[in-house]
Amino acid sequence: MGEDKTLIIQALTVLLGGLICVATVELIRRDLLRTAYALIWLAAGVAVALIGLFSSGFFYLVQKYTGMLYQTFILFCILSFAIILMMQFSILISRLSDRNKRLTQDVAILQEELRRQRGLPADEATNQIKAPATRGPAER
Amino acid sequence: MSEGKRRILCIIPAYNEEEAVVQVVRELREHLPQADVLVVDDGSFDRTAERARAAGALVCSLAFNLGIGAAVQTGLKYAARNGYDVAIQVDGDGQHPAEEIPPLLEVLEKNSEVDVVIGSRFLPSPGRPVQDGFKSTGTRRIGIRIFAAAISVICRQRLTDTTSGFRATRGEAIGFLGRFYPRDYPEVEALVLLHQAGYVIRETPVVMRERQGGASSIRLGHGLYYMIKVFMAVALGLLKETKGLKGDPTTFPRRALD
Repeated sequence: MGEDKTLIIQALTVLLGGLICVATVELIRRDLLRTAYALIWLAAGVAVALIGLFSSGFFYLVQKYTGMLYQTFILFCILSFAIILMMQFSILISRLSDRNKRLTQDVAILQEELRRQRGLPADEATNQIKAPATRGPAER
Repeated sequence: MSEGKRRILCIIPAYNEEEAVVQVVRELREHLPQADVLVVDDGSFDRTAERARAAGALVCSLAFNLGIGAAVQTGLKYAARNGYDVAIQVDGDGQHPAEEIPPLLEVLEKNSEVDVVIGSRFLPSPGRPVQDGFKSTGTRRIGIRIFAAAISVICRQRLTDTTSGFRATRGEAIGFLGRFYPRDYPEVEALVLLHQAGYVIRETPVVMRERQGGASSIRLGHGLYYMIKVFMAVALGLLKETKGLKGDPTTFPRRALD
């Protein structure tokens, strides 16, 4: 690999890291991403940029201490990052689905209590709130 | 909680089984007129909710299908919120005959220390041969036996029918289950949870029928897979933080996910 090519790769890597950071900040600014979940992306962006900046020294050190060639090492990094991210998503999904469940249950309970309190016959108390009783896939 | 005026709620989870549910509601109202009947419509596409209501039941309609665990939990929450003394889980498919409920209640009445009574298909009852009634199919019974053995060891008491959904719960335990009722494999997991929290479980013999309609939440052909999953769930559940579980639900944050 010639000097000039290495330089291009370095520049592209730094650019990618910068792009990740800029995109993350922009997403937070537009309120599309919560700050707490943006941290991992900012960290990733900074890490990519730093690796790009100090690639030769960095990869030298990695190879010296772990024996991993830089291709292997990059694959290792990508895998670790993906796994951490997916774990975080799993946690989030579990929490969301649990909250979703509790809300759904509470709505159902409150509807029935409301109906009983108003003393209305079948369905009238909740017809204003609830969708038609015959539900189908179309409603999703 | 005056004597003889206990408020009883029968909880019937139902998903697309209007015919069977109507039957079950009618039967309960006939055999157990002192009890309120609550059908938890788990996001059915058919007319389960309307028909149950027309048959005289209270109905909680979940906006979408949450699964049997969450449906039963809805009923337990309703019971706890509305101050019922006893909550009885009855399947919506007609497996659990209404005339088998009084024996469950009797156990609670005679044993003040018992919090949860489970109707077991496999306990011999005096004056009734064990062969009576529906006991599930061959391969399933093997699974049920293995569960029973494992859960008996964990709970340090002999339990014969850990997958039975025919249960009566009273008092504080209703609120506890309303808060922590497991979602994925509820019957087996709930037992372990109750045991860990220090509640007293008791089994009593009942006779069950073959289901009248609908399908088991435990599908055939998935039996082995189901068993592995339940064992995993129970094993992982045992790793959870359980100190001070009873009485102070806030010390069980990982399940509550508050």
